Amino acid sequence: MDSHMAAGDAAGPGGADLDADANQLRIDIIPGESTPFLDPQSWLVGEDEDLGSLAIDILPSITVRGQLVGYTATPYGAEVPGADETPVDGLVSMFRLGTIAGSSASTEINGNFSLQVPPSSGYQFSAIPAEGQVLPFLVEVDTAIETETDLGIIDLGYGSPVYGRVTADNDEAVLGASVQLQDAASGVLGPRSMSDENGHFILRAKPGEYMVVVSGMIGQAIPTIHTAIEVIEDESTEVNIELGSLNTATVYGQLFGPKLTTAQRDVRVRFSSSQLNGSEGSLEIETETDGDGVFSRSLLSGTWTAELIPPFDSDLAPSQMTFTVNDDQSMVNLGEVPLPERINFRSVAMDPTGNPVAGVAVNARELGFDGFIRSTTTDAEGWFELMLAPHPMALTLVPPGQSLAVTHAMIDPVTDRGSVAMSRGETVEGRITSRGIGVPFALLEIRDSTGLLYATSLSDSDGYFSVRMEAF
Amino acid sequence: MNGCFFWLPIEEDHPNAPPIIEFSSPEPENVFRIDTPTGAVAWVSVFDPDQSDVMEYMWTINGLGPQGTSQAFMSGNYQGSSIQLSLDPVYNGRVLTCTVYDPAGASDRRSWTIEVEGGQ
Repeated sequence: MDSHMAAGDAAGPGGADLDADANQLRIDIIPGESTPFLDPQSWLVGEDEDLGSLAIDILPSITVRGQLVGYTATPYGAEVPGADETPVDGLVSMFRLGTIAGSSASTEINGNFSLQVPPSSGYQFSAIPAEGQVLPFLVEVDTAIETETDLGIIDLGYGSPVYGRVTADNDEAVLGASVQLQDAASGVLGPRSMSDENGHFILRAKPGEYMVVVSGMIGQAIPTIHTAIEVIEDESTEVNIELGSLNTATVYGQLFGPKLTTAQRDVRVRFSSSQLNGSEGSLEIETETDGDGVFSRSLLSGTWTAELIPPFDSDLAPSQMTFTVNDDQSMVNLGEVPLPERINFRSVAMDPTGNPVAGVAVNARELGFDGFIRSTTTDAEGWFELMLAPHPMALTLVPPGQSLAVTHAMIDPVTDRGSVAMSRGETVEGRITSRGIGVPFALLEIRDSTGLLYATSLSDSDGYFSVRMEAF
Repeated sequence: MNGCFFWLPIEEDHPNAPPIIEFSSPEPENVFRIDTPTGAVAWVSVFDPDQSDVMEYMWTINGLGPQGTSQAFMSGNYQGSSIQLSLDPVYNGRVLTCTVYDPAGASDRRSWTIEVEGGQ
């Protein structure tokens, strides 16, 4: 592989290794049309790397190919039942954990697949058969991909059976519940199976530790329940899932604008259970209001939260309410609910010396709900105005020059007034290259391990970038 | 002295120039592919001939309306907007459009067809 620039302790492709226990800085690079041969990827910053002189070398993606096969009991054209190494219809994925690098692709009819990924270590490879196939799935972690790779034939084999029954109260069989295995270490979900009219299901798995995840299809009032199991080679595993009572009540209401004047259509209503009376599981169901502002959904008994989320371009703001569905209720009327209006929030961006700052990009992100972001720019006197929901917001101020840092602040549009102070912060700068040549006009997003965005920058025509951000 | 002099009104002497989307990811007319658990980011950078104009960005998806996860950014002499879409099958086959407006209402736009692969 071509040599690449390195900094600090000679980082490999993609920078440092992922440190899952630390809050590690990462730089996501999303190349633009100037470099169409480069794909989005991340540079993980090493602990001892100098943020003032980052040397980031990124590489064009390389091909990872192979063929996915498995066992099928009903092969086409076979003289005897059952055939090994039959092409498998499935999804093959390769993701570098903790970064944006990776891709996924469906297998072709002959089981072949081809992925394009940036060279790096720390990839997680998975091969998941498509729904309806009783086959094990494969997850491999910490895979290094540095050159064109042919994985050859990947045989999922037979696996060991995981079977059981999904029931509700009084041992009543549940038809149509979704049942999947989840790899305990990686969280990757395997193919989905559905419980039949007797509540029976069967899955197959390679030896290892899993969670059996039972849930309902979209809109079904079936709680999501996780059950831990261990699959042992050449042994079958029986696991029966009891969902508890599935009796529901119809929960309905009507949403209006302020003062209950105009019914509001197309408002998303998201119900989330806090505690279900008859089950240890949890449930989330969504619906939308109709032309009369009415919503209606069947919910299990328990304590619920309803988030009421108007469309992004509405003048109204999201709201939230909690309510209870009792075991003996068949209908619950939440009544006529007014949604609050967005309010005018006006403030001024100031530098540390108290001078207003013009040309600052202001992004205000709602906390919770759908996390909508509203943006504007400060005027010549440093003032800005936004129509915001009357809830706490996460504010990000992006200065136009290099003397101030991208500054984060929490505000309450209802009570906060006055000014927002920007800080000087520290400089994060360097150069992005590909095989020694500057990568022009690539977007850089500087994030921490949780994905929180600290700053955004654009490399110049020679690949250099510079941005000030608050101390990490 | 014969003849006369007159000054053009400012708005005729310096007519508003529309903003120009200069760079983007994906490339113009390309596919916006979402195939990782973190979703994917599309972005545009804008050149404003009038230099001092404050831009507004509108990201829309056909059938789903205006989108609410975009952020404006400043970088040196460039300004622009980026949007992050999650790995959600609802986006597959739809068209993502970014329209940038200057205060006079002049605009430029770019569109991409969205492809969503898999679910995890």
